[in-house]
Amino acid sequence: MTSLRPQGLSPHLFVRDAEAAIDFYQRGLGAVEVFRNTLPNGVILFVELQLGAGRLLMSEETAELGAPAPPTLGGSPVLILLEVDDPDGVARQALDAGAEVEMPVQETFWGERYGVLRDPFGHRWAVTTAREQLTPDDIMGQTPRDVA
Amino acid sequence: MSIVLTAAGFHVLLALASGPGHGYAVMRFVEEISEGAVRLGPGTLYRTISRLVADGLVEESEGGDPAAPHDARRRYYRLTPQGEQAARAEAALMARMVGAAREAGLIT
Repeated sequence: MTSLRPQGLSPHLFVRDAEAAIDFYQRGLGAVEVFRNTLPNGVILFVELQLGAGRLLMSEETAELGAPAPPTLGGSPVLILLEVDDPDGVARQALDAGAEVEMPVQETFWGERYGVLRDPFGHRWAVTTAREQLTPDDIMGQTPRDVA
Repeated sequence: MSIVLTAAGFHVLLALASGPGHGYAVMRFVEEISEGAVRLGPGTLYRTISRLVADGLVEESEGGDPAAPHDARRRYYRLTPQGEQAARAEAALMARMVGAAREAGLIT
């Protein structure tokens, strides 16, 4: 049986102020809300957004569930990679909606036009375009000795 | 961001290409056309149609009851002109691939 439900890998983000975050991901990254599950007290249990061909799940920070948001942790150890046609345009849109630049969008040795943003909720995003112009050997040959 | 048509999205557009229909008809169409190999459950149907509506490819058909439950199976949908265009473009691409498959002897 073939399922049409996407079976790929999907991030589930926890944020402080889910309502504001939904607004940001829609305006800043072009997400589309497709499903929302709200508790009787109004707390958003989870929201499912679609971003390009991917799914993005999101919930309010919930200490009882062991699900803290980045400000509680003092940062995020995850970088979410978003492949788009126009990383410069998406980065501009995200900045207008309140994101901050960690690394400006630029040409990289691995052949992508790539930049890193931090959204207002502390999650980190790489916006990039996979141009597939370089072979793995090209990339290995251009890899720096150090990241410093 | 440009509109991305998923496999499920294309199936829904295809089901509505011959005229408006409700979600049940879309689910039945997909199952029949694939001879049971592909099944579109109510959850995927709802999410897929929500996305197509947000992208402007599908709209709820007039005459539907706006107070009806949030059950995509019972609501009526139709293609927008953009939806028809997206379905045509995807079908043309698939036709070219099927042509190549035939030339390669994969389809007799």
